[in-house]
Amino acid sequence: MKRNPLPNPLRNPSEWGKWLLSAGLLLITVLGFYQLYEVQVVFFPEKYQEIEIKLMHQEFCKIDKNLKKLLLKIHYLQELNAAGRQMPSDPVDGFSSRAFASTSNIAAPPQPARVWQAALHEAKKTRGYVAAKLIQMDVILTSLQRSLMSNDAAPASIRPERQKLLAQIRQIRERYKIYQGDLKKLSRKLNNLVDSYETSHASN
Amino acid sequence: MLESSRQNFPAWLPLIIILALGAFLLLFHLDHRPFWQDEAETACLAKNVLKYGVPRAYDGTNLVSQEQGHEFDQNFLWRWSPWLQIYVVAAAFKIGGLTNYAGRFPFALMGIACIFLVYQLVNHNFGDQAWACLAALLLTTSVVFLLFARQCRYYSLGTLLVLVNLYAFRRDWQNRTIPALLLGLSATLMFYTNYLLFFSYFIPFILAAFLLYYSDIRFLRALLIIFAVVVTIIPGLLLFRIQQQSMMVNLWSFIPKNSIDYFADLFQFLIPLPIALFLLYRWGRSLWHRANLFLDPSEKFILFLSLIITGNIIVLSPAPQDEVRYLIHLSPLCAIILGWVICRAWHYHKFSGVLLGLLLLGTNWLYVLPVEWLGIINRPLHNDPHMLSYPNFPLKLYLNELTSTYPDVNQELIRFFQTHARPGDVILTTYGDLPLQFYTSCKVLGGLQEHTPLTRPPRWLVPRWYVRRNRQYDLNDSEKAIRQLLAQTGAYQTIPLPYEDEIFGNRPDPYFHRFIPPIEPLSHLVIYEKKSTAQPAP
Repeated sequence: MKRNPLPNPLRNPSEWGKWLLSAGLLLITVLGFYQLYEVQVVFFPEKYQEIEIKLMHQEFCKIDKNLKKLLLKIHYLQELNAAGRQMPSDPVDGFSSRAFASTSNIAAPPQPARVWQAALHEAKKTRGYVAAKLIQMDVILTSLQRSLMSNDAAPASIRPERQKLLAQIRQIRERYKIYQGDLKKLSRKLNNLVDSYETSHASN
Repeated sequence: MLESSRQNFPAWLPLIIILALGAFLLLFHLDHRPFWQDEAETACLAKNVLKYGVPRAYDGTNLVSQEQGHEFDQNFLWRWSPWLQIYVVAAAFKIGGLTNYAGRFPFALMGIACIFLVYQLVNHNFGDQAWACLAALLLTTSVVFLLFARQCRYYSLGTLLVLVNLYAFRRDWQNRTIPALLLGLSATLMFYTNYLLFFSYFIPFILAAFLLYYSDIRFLRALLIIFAVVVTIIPGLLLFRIQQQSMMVNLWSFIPKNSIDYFADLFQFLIPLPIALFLLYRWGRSLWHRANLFLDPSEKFILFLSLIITGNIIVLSPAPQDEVRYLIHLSPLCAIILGWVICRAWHYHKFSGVLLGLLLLGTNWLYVLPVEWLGIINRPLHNDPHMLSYPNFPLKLYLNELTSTYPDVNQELIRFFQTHARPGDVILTTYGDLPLQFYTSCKVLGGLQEHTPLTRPPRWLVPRWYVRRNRQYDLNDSEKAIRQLLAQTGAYQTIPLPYEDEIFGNRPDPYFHRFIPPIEPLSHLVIYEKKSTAQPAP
């Protein structure tokens, strides 16, 4: 007597969802195990350092963007300072105090001092963000370098990888110095602007 | 599955086992690390309550402040944050002494009560013991919840009040007095625990209740309860100067960034993104097909909780600081939702249900991996692979910390000054001033306090590597003061310590909490001692 073959579950569309769900969860399980640090360090001993270096490149993008933002804010503050009561538009935020004044019939236009304070607050916030990021990167770079150079007993097979990472860290250091220099210049400009604004208002 | 096993053991046994596990995880080695800065703030104020009867920021020697002196009035009466947590700690100190264990014990007990209430809320309202056990177990094994519940701070108190409120809402508050009283009382107490928590929870709670349980609401009674709550919180609104603090709210500046960050935190630590998307798809499809969601009361309740969570994040977003701690009171709601999803998965496909349960109970992979793949993971640069922002077995990390001696930065500083400093010595530090105030007999300045003019240079300087700025984004006064003092060549001698200068210490925030010492310390502690007062070498 012929046996009926076992039904193929994949022929039944209602079973697809169950298989997909199981497959998805199994994928997470397998990848989760694979991505554990204890497992990664066996197959890819320098993986953590590679992740950190990749994160640093991402942080550099944010630093670069914020330095440009800071520069624009400083220009805006310079215009505010020079123009006195006239209020140009902030090119970064797109806020035009003239537009505000013209559209708002009820509210009074913002006072120049308040506009200055708001713009200065934003500039300081951006500066503080960049400064904090650079300090963190400096500390983490030093720590990474120390950890890569400290293990002299590393097998010969991973030494080229390690050398490559150390070279990348040196490149990051160079870039870090450039950004640090840029921040110092912008910070000096900002401080000078603040001093000049306070001096001119004190004499008035 | 559970029906046959009920015949073999009592129905309350799973709950007892879960509560026993929760008690162990919350109470074991509760004093293994000293208070970090925020805990020490509560502890110092509680200590002053024992002395003065009210939370006074100044005790004659040290000043408690992290907002440049804006927290108190001219009589040093604390007016920044509500007092309930301070009085809870003061009562604990009165009974148990000025110890870490005493300070944290009441909040850890409240954590255990939260686990019990989660079980009761589900079991009593829906009669589903499997779901109730799963929800309670998920909360018990949630390391993020455990970390916050073990703090000498309001976190588990706020969470407990949320659960009491939900529990009362699900009882017959429309006709019975006690549930109605509990509804109002939990709201009032929540305000006096943390008003940000109060507003962020109750606004979406009320809206979601009207949306989904409209036919169950008795408007007159609801208005009476709301009126009673408003009357009881008015003194707090005035005392804590909320109107002044609301000036920090900035709708345009904070909402976009903060709401994205809060949702990222939610998916990374509380509800995995795939599950959130599944629920969104499920309810979206029901709406599209005009299917009636309200046929299943349990699903209606899950939707209710989801709306509260979403609304909570939206209401929180305008506030200046986005921190995971402002979401912790939502942990039980997330545990209930996840327990329901696991039960649905089990009924749909047993193997998937079991796998999902194991992944959610034992790992953080379903939380971290999807957001990592999508490139939306929040992972600070200083994070270590043994932290919750990386794939891990969270409970294993947690137990590792509890069963070994962690080289806590505050512990090392406290030990150093208890050994080397004389009573009355002046310490100037850029951070961590409050733990030193609590544990030593020194005068401790700096941190995030307002600048205090010094009559003489401090004997000790503790600059921390993580530079802190005030709300105006200028360097804190303590940072400037230490830099000026160290610029005087030869005035101070360096004492490097072989311990890591960790950023915070026992901070529970998963982006900052370390369970085991890092692979490579970022920076080491350095202390400076004034040369003229330095002890000669033996």
